[in-house]
Amino acid sequence: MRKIFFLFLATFSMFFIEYFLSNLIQPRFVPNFLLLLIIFVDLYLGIRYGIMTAVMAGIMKDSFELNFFGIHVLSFLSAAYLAIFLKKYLYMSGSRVSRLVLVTALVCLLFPVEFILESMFRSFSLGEAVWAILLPQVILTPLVSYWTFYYLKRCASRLYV
Amino acid sequence: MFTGNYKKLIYVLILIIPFFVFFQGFNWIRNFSSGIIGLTSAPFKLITAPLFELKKIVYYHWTFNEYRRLKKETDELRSRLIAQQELVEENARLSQLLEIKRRLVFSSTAASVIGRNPSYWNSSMIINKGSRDGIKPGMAVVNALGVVGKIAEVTDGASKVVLLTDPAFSVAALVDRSRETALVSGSLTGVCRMRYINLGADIEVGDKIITSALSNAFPEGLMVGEVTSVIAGGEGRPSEYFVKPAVSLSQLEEVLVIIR
Repeated sequence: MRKIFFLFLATFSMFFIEYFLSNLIQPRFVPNFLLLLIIFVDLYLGIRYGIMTAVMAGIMKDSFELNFFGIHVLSFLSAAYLAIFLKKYLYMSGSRVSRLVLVTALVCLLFPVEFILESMFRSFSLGEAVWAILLPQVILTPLVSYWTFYYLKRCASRLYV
Repeated sequence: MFTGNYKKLIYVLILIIPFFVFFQGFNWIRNFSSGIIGLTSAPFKLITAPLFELKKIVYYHWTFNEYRRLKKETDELRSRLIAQQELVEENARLSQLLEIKRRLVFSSTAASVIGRNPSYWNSSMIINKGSRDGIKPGMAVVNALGVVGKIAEVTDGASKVVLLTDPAFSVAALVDRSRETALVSGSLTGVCRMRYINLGADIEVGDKIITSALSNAFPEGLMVGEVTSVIAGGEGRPSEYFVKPAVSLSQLEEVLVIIR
């Protein structure tokens, strides 16, 4: 129960940070903190908790969305599964570089999933989506990943020591 | 707690997603999401309220100077209005003669912005008026500066507004100077595009764009934005026009919903 409570708090905090920053700057320049949380939970707590986090994060994000409810739940669930799959090939425990590569790869792989899901209900230009969304996310999300994982680890270790 | 096969749990969770997709039409999905919004917006307000107060103190001098400038501008505009009142009365008389009916006055209700969508795939916000206040999907949302967006979803006490810069938003517009008609729609980059323009249209950077009478949702003559750049097309290809919205969408706190 303690882990689930921690996951709920962490999901809420990450969503709040994204919400707060998107009020100050354009949302496309806000790093994907929820994705970083899902990757963290996958790496350190396993796929089961990663899926729970993905569902919670997706529900929070979909509540504010205009599109069909469930799109972000599905995309975050895909990210959780992809993280576990890529962990075998890209991640080495304790290596910051491999973690950075894993985050970058997941941001790049999550983009087509979200693009396809969003395009099912609205029309977007792929070139514009790459320029406006993928490029800022590929730069900003890995950039903040080190500090995000550091603070999440500190919170998790204080709760479970 | 998890004594069963965890794979079954995963399959159950995966099945939940189509459930949400198939039952979109039911109101309880919207009520559930508005419950999440209500739960998350209260702590946001609590934490951001001191920051707004601090911002007011920090910007006091700037606000006072801005007040003096606006007062001077209002006095000048008031004197011009008196001169134009004569023209308006003459126009009204001529319109009556030609039996042209125009609606110049519309009813509206004010609403406050209570949340903004942090997604980068669409631009939307949430206001604190819903079906209880007579709001319906498709109603226009404006403020003193111009067009803000349209009501997309409505619950009892809140509504989601799709903003002018959203790719799914579009409004029939025309260029104030040359009266060229076009469709203004949003994009992922936060600026608006003008589409369906005649080849060789007379549109320049700096032209004001206003809503046209062809728009169902918006009254005619509301400010949409200003043309900021033109990418000239080649032979037989139309040019691309980019419009900066008149309303600063990131600083919206209060809006008007037009109830016809």
